[in-house]
Amino acid sequence: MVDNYAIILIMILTVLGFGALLLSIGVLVRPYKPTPRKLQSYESGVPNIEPLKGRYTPRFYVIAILFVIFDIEAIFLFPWAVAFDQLGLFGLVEMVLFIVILLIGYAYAWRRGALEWV
Amino acid sequence: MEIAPPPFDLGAIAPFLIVAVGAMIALLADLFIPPARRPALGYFALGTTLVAIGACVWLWGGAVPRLAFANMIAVDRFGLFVTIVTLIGAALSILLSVDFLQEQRLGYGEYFPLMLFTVSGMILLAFANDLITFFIALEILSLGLYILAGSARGRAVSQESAIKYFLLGSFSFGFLVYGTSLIYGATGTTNFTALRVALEGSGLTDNPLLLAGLALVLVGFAFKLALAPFHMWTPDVYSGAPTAVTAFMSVGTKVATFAALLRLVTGALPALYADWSNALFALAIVTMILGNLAAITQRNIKRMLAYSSIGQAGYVLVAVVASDTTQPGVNDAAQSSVLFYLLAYTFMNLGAFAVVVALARPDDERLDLDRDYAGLARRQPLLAAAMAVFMLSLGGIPLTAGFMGKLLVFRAAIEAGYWPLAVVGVLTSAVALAFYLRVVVRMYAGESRHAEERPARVPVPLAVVLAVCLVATIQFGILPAIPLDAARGALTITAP
Amino acid sequence: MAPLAYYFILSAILFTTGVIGVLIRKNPLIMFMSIELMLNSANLSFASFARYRNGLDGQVIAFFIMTVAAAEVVVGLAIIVSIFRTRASVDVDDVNTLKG
Repeated sequence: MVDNYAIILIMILTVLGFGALLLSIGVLVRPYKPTPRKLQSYESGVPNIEPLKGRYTPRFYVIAILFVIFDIEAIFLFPWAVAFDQLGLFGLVEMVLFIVILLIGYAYAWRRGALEWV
Repeated sequence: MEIAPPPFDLGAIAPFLIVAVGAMIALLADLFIPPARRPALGYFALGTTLVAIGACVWLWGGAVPRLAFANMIAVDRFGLFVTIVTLIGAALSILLSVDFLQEQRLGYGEYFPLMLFTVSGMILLAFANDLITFFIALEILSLGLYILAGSARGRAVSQESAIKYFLLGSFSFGFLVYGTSLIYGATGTTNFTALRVALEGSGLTDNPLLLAGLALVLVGFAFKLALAPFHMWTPDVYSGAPTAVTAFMSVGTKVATFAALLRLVTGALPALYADWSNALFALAIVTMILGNLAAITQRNIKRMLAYSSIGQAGYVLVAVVASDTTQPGVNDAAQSSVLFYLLAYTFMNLGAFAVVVALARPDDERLDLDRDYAGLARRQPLLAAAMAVFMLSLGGIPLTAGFMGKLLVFRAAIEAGYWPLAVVGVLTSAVALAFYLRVVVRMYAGESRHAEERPARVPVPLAVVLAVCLVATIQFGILPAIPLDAARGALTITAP
Repeated sequence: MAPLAYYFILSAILFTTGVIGVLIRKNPLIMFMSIELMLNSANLSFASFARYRNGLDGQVIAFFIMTVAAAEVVVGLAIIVSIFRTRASVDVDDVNTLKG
């Protein structure tokens, strides 16, 4: 049993050691003369004219913000749904109140135009 | 099988409900009224806070103290007193904001709804009897304040204030939550009442998990209360936020958070008195010294008031340290002095900020002590006189509320045997006089740079704020009996 | 089941990582992620203590922390976006109009 694991361990060590050996040979042998041009990221031969990171319209952030908040609030619905039978009318009223409060937030976001796309 | 719901005691949280529902109504109303009518929302918010004060008075006479919502809320006179102080602070700040926002062209936006949400968090904080209620209340209050601090959207300083406040606030929240989890791990509960019962006479008081949890929670509190050495964010945040917001957060947050701290350490952790009193002792000394020394070099009035508020928090902390529940007499003196000091601080600090608001011009906030405050007495004698009273009160000159507050605090410290705290307190008060009196001297002896321009018109709501703060500051200094009796009557931290 | 200590040590490591992250990083977004790490380490700690004590309290608290953290994310992102709109950088070192 233990022997089998020992074999796997030896294999892992061998693989790691071999990889490390090859890489260190490469470092020792290859020339290293950096120039600014060489350090640039390659973009089909022409110099970079804009940052590589893409730009997003802030609307994405607004949508993400709204999504996060309403999505996470749904977390409270799950335990409620599981215990719904046992909670009775009280639980239902409580959850309706909770959702009404969420709806106020939703109505606010809607009226303020946060949901308008373009 | 039916799960029995916990008793549904809505009356117990009436002040909170009034403010929270008021905030939601204001939020919806904000969508439908034209921008020109927005100041009306300010008066609606003011009405809401006044109704909530009425509810507190009603509860004060009613069947208190009681626990509600599965012991997560404790409605007692302590909480009610703090709530009333917070609501007074909020009402005055709302009056302060109405004309200020218009004059500075900041736009109203969601200002008043946010303010009401923040106040609802403060109220919940004063009543929280469980670490969960406590940190949810703290988040309600903080989230509103982060946005309010950045509410001057076009201004770089306001944005900077918001991001700094947000990062440091959330950082401290992380400490609080993790500390709470350690306390929960050590004792199996987060409820204040249950914690006290669990710790009484048990071998748990030396538990490293519990002590580490306590330490982390205290660090969180120290950040929120701007106690040195966790105060670095305060001057930047206070000076960057719009002045009306600064006034509100320097008062309301401190009052409510100090109440929560006092309830936690004396209501839930009296068994750990030796541990937390030592930690707070060190914090109090460092805070008093650093806050007051740093204030001396400030030229910007808002930064000076920020450091001054750090120093003032140090004095309140002195009384918290003296709250040893094993000596009832000492404890009563200490806790009533905390409440009295918070009340006095609310009026004198808001008053000082009200003067700063009154002097602000649309193009220039007039914050420089040397340039804008010099010779103020000749141009605007009434404003200068009011500012002088607030400065003297903050400095602790006799016949003002600030003097009575300091007197009570230091007496409580000496009774509890903490004479080093009293000595440091008196010495730093003397140092503090240097910068408080400097403002007075500038105003009365300096040469005005703005002599040729017409004096600022003080709008009626602002005049009301100044008058209320002025009367209270002098009245509490000469006849402190009424607030002091109320504070002494408010000492029952619930534990039935 | 792994002993409680393992979970506890992991949560302590996560918490420390978060604290260090906030203290040494300059980008508000990264600082913010470190804060989330602190909150989530508390969640792990709550959940494992709850399991250890056979109680549900700790798990319920973890729920509340998650929602509070989400609310914080939203406010924080909104503040950062609003800063980004008025200037091109979100480096804390560039946000230094007020002297510290």
